[in-house]
Amino acid sequence: MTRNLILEEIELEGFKYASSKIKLNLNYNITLLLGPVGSGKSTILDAIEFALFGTTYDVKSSRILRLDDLVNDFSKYAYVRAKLKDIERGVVYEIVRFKERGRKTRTRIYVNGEQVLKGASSDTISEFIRNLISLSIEDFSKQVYIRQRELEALMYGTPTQRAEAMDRLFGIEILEDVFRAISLGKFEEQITLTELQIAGLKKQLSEISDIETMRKELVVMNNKVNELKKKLENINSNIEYYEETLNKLKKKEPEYKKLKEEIAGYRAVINNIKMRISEVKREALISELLPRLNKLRFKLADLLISLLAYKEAEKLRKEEVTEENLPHFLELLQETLELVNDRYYYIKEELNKLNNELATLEVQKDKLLTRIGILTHHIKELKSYEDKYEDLLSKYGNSQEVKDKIEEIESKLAEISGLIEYERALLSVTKEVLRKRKKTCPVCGKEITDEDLLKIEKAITSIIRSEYAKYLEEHDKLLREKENLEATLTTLKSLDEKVAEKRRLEVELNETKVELNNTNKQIDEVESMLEDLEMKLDEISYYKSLIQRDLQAIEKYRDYIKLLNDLNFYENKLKETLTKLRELQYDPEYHRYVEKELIELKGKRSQIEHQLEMLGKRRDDLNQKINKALQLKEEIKVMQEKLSRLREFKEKLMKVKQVFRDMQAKIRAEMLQRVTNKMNEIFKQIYVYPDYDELDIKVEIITTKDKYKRSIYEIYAHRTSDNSWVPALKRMSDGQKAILALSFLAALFMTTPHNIGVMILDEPLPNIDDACKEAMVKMLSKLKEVRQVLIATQDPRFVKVLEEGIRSWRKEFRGVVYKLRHSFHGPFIEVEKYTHTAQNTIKTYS
Amino acid sequence: MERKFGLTELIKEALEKEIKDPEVKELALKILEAYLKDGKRAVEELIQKLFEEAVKYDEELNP
Repeated sequence: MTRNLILEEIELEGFKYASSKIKLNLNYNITLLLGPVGSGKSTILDAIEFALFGTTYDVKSSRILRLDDLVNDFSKYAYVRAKLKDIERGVVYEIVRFKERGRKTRTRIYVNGEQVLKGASSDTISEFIRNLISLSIEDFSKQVYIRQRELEALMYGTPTQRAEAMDRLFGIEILEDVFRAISLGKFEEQITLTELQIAGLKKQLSEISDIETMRKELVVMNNKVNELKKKLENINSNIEYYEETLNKLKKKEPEYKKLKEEIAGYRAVINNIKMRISEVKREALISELLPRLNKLRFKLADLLISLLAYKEAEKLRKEEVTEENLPHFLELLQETLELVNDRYYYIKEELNKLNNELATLEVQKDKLLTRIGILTHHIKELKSYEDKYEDLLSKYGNSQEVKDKIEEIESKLAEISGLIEYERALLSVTKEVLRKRKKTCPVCGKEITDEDLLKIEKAITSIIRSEYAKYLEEHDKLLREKENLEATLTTLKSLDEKVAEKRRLEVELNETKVELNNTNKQIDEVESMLEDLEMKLDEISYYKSLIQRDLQAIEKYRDYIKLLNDLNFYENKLKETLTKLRELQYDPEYHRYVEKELIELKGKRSQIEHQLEMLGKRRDDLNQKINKALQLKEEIKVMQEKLSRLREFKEKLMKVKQVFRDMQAKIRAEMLQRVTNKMNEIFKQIYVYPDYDELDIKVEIITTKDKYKRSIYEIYAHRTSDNSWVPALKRMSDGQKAILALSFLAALFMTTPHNIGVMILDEPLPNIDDACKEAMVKMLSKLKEVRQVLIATQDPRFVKVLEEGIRSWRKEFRGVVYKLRHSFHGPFIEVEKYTHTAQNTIKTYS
Repeated sequence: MERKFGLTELIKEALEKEIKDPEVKELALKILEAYLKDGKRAVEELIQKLFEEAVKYDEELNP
């Protein structure tokens, strides 16, 4: 492996501590990054790692750090560009990484200034870079980029820490990590749990009877169930038949009872009738009855004749009563009696009517008598008016005549009134004329004086007054006469009415008396008729009583006949009922039998149902158990399969673990062999003192606290003074240890295959003296495989070592020191460059 | 031919060469790949996944 690839330049911005842009030329044999803690040395080294792998070993191996944490807190993105050069082929590679928070890193690759792999996936780009440098990030972090902690672990660490560091450097810590990461605990736990579960399931299964036995029992049980079901079917069929029959019988039962009661009743009645018939003395009854009836029929015939029922009377006379026609005669007698009764009631009704009529007449008579009394009294009262009337009539005449006289007087009065008016007018006119002082006499034309006038007036007045008085007297006289006549006329008129009233009453009295006479006559007639009818009724009553009396005798016979009829009737009824009873087809015995059978069948059915229920329960129980057993078996099977899988897998994992362990030992042995030889070569070159001349690394197996067996490394140094191998780390000084460690790391760098010619040391060898530092740097510069050394350190003595050493090292050897200081904007860098020439060292500043 | 480089590649190469059982080889390489990709966490996750696969039939039968 040629290790032709060197770093020419690194540029970073927004990466870790570098908030502002940093661009460093790394194209020197030795580059020193000098600065205090936190000045950004590791930021620059990590930027190289990030440029090559898109991440850092710290981020990759940490569970806390993320890629986003690589972006500076004050920047939006991290930008890193690394320029590499294949010095053999003269090809320049540039790798640009651009990372924004929360986004994937974008990468560009330039080969000789031209971008390649445009649009390629990140995997393709990673593969390109890995092929270019021939290293994974894990290998890079062990063999190229040596951190202080690795050196310290080698020099000062406990055996375990040293062993871990060396395993890490050999790359076999991966195998150890993988070995430890393959945890079998979960499998073992699950296997134990599964085994317990299987045991539990088997225990449960063992508590259940054997499946085959249960199945056999189930078959027997099913046969029994089928048998019982058939029986149950038959019983149900019988029950159905008997229930139907019973329903029919129950429906017939009331009818049957009713018919039976009727039959019992009829029989009782028939027995009673027969007993009564047997008690009757028929012969005696006939010999007594017949003569009486013959006698009765003649009497009845007479009665009928008296009642004008000649035809019926004749029929009765002709109908001689014998025992044979006794029923017929009885009918005839009954008809006769009905006829007589009709007549009797008819007469009685007539009698009632007449009585009513008589009562009406009596009332009428009373009314008439009362009216006559009233009329007589009024007439008597009106008699005095009649006498007075007669008197006035004789004096003044009748009313018309009085009226005529009054009219005459009125005529006279009118005449006299006219004269009186005339006189009064005359007097007035005269006075008026005289008052108007007519001066001349109309007769003689002579002037008339007032005196004359007064005389005239007096004379005339006297005359007129005399006439006037005469007329007034006459008038008064006539007026008095008139008034008298008018009073008389009024009286006459009044008396006229009274007299007329008296005469009307007299007429009415006469008429009432006539009516009274008529009423009296009618009453007499009605009373006579009543007497006749009552006599007839008495006669009928008499005959009726005769008939009734004989009828009582007949009644016994009739009862006898009736008994015979009743007997006949009830015997017929009994026959009919017996026929109905037969037709009913109801047998109480059979009814009881059916009921009993039904009870028995239902009892049997209950028993079978109970048996079936019990069998069903048992069958369910068996089925459940069988199912449970099958389920358990299935579960056990599944569990066993699972267990088998787990065991198989555990086995496989154990094999894998073992493989990793074996591999670890194998690689370790191989690496040790390679590295030990190379380490001795290097050691002999750089260790200039004679006390130790050879180194060796041995492996020992120890058991760790957590029960792991692990290999630890013991480094031995050959002490020349006594020719013995001593534990180097216990005997050597820090400087010797540092040389030893660096020899080991350089050997490792040189013996592993990769294409990187750069060795990066982060804070190496802090405690060694300047001579050793110089020796170390010198050694590194001498190694052909190490084309570039990049050292990050806080120790300013390295500058001197570099300055001193560079003069005596190989030609054209170039070195640079980048001094880093803190600032608010990230590391502040001061540059010192050293170039070795044949004569001197040129120191330049920028 | 893929180019082999670094110790990691050496380990891979050795595993492929040394393990005879193909199943074990496949599993070992799978585990190593997981580790290289994302460290112990990836291996633990892979083992967990394999464990779940081993027990998943059980879960399917008894969900």
